[in-house]
This record gives sequence, C-alpha cells and structure tokens, in this order.
Amino acid sequence: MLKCRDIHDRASDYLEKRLSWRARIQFRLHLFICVHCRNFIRQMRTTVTALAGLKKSPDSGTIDNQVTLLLRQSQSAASGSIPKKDR
Amino acid sequence: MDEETLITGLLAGDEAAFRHVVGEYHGLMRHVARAIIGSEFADEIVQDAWVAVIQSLPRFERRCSLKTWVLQIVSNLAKTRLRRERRSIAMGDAADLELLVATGQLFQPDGHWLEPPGNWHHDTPELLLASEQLRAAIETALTALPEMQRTVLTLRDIEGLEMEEICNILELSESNGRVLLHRARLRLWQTIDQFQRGEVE
Ligand SMILES: [Zn+2]
Repeated sequence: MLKCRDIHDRASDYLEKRLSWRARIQFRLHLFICVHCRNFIRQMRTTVTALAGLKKSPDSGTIDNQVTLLLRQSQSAASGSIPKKDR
Repeated sequence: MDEETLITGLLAGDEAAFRHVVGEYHGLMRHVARAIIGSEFADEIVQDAWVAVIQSLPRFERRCSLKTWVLQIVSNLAKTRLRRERRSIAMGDAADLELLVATGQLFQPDGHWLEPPGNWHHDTPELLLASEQLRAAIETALTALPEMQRTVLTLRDIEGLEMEEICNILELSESNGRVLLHRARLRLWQTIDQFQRGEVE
C-alpha cells in the first residue's frame, strides 16, 4: 500500500505517465481513499500548467542587437568570408 | 512560422526569420549555457553559438527539431569551453540533487501528511497567474532554484521540450533529470501552497 509520502515523491512520474501499469493502479488506489493526496496531485497539476504561462521572450533591445549581428554574420557567410565574431 | 519556412528564411538572410528565432531561442540558449558553465561565460557562449548556427545551418540534417539542434550547439560549445577552463561540470552536483523538501517535516513517521496541503483559493492555472503577488512569488522561487533544477524545469514545463531532449542537451541521466524536475516542481508547489495559506490567515 502506498503512503502519502510515496505519492509526494512520485507525483511527477504519475503526472507524466511514467509509472508502470501496476504502480499506476496502486497510485490511483491511494488517491481514491486519500483526499489530501488528491488535493496535492490536483495542485501539482495546476502548478505545472501555470508554469507554461510564464514563457517570455527577451526584451526588444536584446532582440534588435542580436538580429543585427546575425544579419551581418549571415551576409558574410553568404559572401564566403566568415569573420571571427565581433569582440 | 513553421520550421521549414523558418529555415529557408534564415538561409536567405530574412530579417523576420532571424527576429523570430532570436525571440524564441535566445533566452533558452542562455539558460542552457548558464546551467553548464555559469553566468560568467554564458553570454559569450551564446554569441559563439549563434555564429555556429548560421554557419552550420546549410548542413542541418533535421534529425531533431531546430530548437533542439540549436540548444545542442550551445551545450557542446559550453562543454568544450568548460574543459578549456579546466572546470568540472557542475551539473547534477550535490547541491542540485540534495533533497529540497525535508520530507521529515512534511510527513509523519508512518508516511501520512503531517500538515496536509491547504485549500487553494487560486486553484486554477489562470487564477494563479492572475494574482500579481503570487506570480512574483513564483518567479522569485524559480530564480532561487539551484541552476540545474531551474534549467530542467524551464526547458520542460515552461518551454515544453521532451524530457529525453533535455537530458540529451544537458548530458543528464534520465533518472537524474527526472529527480531534478520533480524537486524543482515540489519547491514551486510549496511556494504556492505557503503563499495561499498566508493569504487566508
Ligand atoms: Zn495520501
């Protein structure tokens, strides 16, 4: 019988469906009888989903500089002379 | 922009294509470089990686996604540099693998919750991120994670890469990668749980 601590320790494997068939059944069984772990798993799922919402791009200044540099690089690459990086 | 259009655009020196990849990949590349060699050399490695990407793109064989290929270039350059600096790779080291959550504090000796998870007022991903303060708490916790945990979590949960790709890029064993990911997630869950308890009190 799995303990709450096992649920805590293996939650990511459960959420990512990495558990064996047998382990998954045991996991489910524990969730069925334990409201705290059901709560915990729901919260972990919410946490992981929320993280995807944090994706952000670099600021436009960084992008502008980098793009300018790359364009210059690719032009020299196209013309056959590849300069060492500018620094 | 699909990947083929993107690659064609890059090869043609199209500015929109460059703008797109830089926006999408630059931050990620820094994450990977920082995780391997530390922030001191990260920017330099990323610059070198961009040059290598431009030069090697005509020979890109499409055996993986463009993103993975680019990140592998970053990883290889960082590791080469690391050897040159005669440093040992800091990945998956003791600090990273150390148990973040002292489970003794969370559980009774018989394995039951000592203090069960609280009831969350913000109980959906949308609600979590809608609270400015909670979002800030999550970002702070993310920054405070050990480098490798943060990188694995970022690549997996924020950027959506496959675990196999991540372990490959960071040269982690599959099991270490999973441990790092889970510990990082637990720390964030704990942060959110504590925040929501604090709000109720
Ligand atoms: Zn339980």
